[in-house]
Amino acid sequence: MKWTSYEKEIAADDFFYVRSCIRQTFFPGAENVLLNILRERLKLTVVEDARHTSCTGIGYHTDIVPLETIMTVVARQMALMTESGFKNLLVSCVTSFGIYNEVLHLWDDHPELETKVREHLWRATRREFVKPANVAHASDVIYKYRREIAQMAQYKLVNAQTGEPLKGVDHIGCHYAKIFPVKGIGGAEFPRVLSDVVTEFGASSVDYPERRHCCGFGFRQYILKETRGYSVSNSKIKFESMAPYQPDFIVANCPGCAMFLDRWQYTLSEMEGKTYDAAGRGIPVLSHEELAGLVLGYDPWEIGLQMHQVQPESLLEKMGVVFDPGGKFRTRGGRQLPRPQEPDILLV
Amino acid sequence: MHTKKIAVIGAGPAGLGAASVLSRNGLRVSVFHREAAAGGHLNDWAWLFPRFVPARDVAVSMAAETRQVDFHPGCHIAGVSRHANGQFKIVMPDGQTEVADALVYAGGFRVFDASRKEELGYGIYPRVVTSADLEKMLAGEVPFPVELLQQQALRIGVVHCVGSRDEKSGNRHCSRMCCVTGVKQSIELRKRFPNSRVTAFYMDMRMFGNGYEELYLEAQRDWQVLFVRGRVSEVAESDEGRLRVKAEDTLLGRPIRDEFDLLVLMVGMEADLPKWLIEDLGVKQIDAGFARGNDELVASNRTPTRGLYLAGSCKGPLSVAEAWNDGQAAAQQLLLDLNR
Repeated sequence: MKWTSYEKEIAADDFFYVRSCIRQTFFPGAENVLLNILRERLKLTVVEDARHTSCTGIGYHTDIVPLETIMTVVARQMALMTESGFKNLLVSCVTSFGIYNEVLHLWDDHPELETKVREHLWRATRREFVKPANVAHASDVIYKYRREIAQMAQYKLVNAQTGEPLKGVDHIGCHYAKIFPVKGIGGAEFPRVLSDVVTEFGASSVDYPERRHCCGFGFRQYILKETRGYSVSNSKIKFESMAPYQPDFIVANCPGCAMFLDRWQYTLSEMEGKTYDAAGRGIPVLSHEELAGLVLGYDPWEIGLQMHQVQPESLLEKMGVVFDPGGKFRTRGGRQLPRPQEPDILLV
Repeated sequence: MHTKKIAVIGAGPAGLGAASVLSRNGLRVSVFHREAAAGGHLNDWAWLFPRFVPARDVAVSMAAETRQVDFHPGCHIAGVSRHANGQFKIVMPDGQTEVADALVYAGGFRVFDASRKEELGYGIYPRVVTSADLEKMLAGEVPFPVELLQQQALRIGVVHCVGSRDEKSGNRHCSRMCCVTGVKQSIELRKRFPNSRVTAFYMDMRMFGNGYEELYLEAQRDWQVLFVRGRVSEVAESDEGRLRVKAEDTLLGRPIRDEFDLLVLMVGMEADLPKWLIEDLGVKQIDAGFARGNDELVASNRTPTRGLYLAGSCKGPLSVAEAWNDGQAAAQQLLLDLNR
């Protein structure tokens, strides 16, 4: 296989952005900082349409939403993009990224399905669409502009006291490149979309044994309570595999993965009485845009890092980030929110 | 004649209420209105709840209460600023300006654009109409979808809370008037199409005004309107052009699928404040976007800007009578302050 088949074309500018349900709900600051970096720092044009909806991917993967329905939902998002005059689809969520690619691939192989979906869409909404010229995941764009971001960076991913590079472990969402390897940087075998960003920002990237293992989200196994244990078990395999390398942070490009790698650290600490770092504070989990925002000098509380289960102070201290500890739970209007209850084992 | 000159922006019930009090007290009053005729949304309505009074008659009587008012129709104000001497400079669309010693803002509200609820099919299927559209049909200004007249046993659906109490639309607030409007229009539809069956989908019925609860009872008892507690989730068109509606009956805990010949969406009220009111005159907003007076209980017409008063549904959804009274109350506040 040629190395070029592990590369992909990423549009340079003029994006139509579609948001992520999970990121919006659990890490609302992440998408804000992504848009701010793209628009204000990189001076790119990114538009969005408030009428766009969930891609219904989670419902699809749990057999609640039928194929015809999700294809029509996808077609409607593309119709909104067409109406905006843009051709490059920028996707926040890895689940959605997989969905868009899957639907486009299906239509390529079965043009009759596309014809049927166009009829459904017209009947239901009187909309028409042009298929996107380029589909990029948000982490693709951060990857594409990693050097420009690094040049503007206020902090590096190095230990501010010793000057040693921090150690970062990455986790790529399965639906980013395992469904269609040619759609991801490095494919499924040589994932580089995050590790190249990590190294560009000054850290060293650890290729730990279970790097390519699923985080445990897995849709059905998490959503069905009976199989939720599988989800925790998968995450545990990941943590045990990365722990010997003593990583300073985890970076994940999938909203679901970032959530589970973050939240399950608390669950496992309560179940087994341990954490996977030496200090008992857990391994901070960041998304690609949170990581980029941090090195660019955004206020960690503006990015919304306090919304994470594993609190980010250990990483901030290592990087030498100047931050206001008192601002952590203060609203923009200056109101002090009550501090959340602190767990006993996973230290804050 | 008082020497002070007062500008009233908006000639709906609240603006006319304010102008009637101010003009009858001898003040020089200029009324600026974006439409050609005074009356505001009254001009878009056929009959008013709860007693089916013709809306145009009400608009005419309200306008008749004013005295020697300088009326500027078709005047969409471009901007207003406040001088250091406390006077207001009003800039009209053609660039001409007028100066006033005090200003009553009664710009009203905007009717929710139902096409934003794409799943309900407004703007997609001709048989999905809004409560505002229906008023024009009932008044004979706009025809009913033609085939409706030819059908003997019509199925008509009424959908409440479209764009109100709906976080997805960005509107958490209740528009207050749509519940009783839905009841009134259900009765009117039954009168217009005696063989019809009307089903109204609601969250809860808020019958707060005098005569409203009685009207609600009348709709059920005398006109057999069926009220189903549950929201409509989706509307699609059948091959025959009927409207397939998916909803949920939350009392029975069951999903419903039904077909209708006509669907009426009870559209809510949204804030419609001009930029200059907020940015140049410093008016604050409540979460729903409507204007906020100094105090909701005893000084809702006053603002932190001296000489600027708020009237009517620019502050939140009000009935015609409430807006008229609120306009008069704003004018009374202004008079009290002038005479101090």
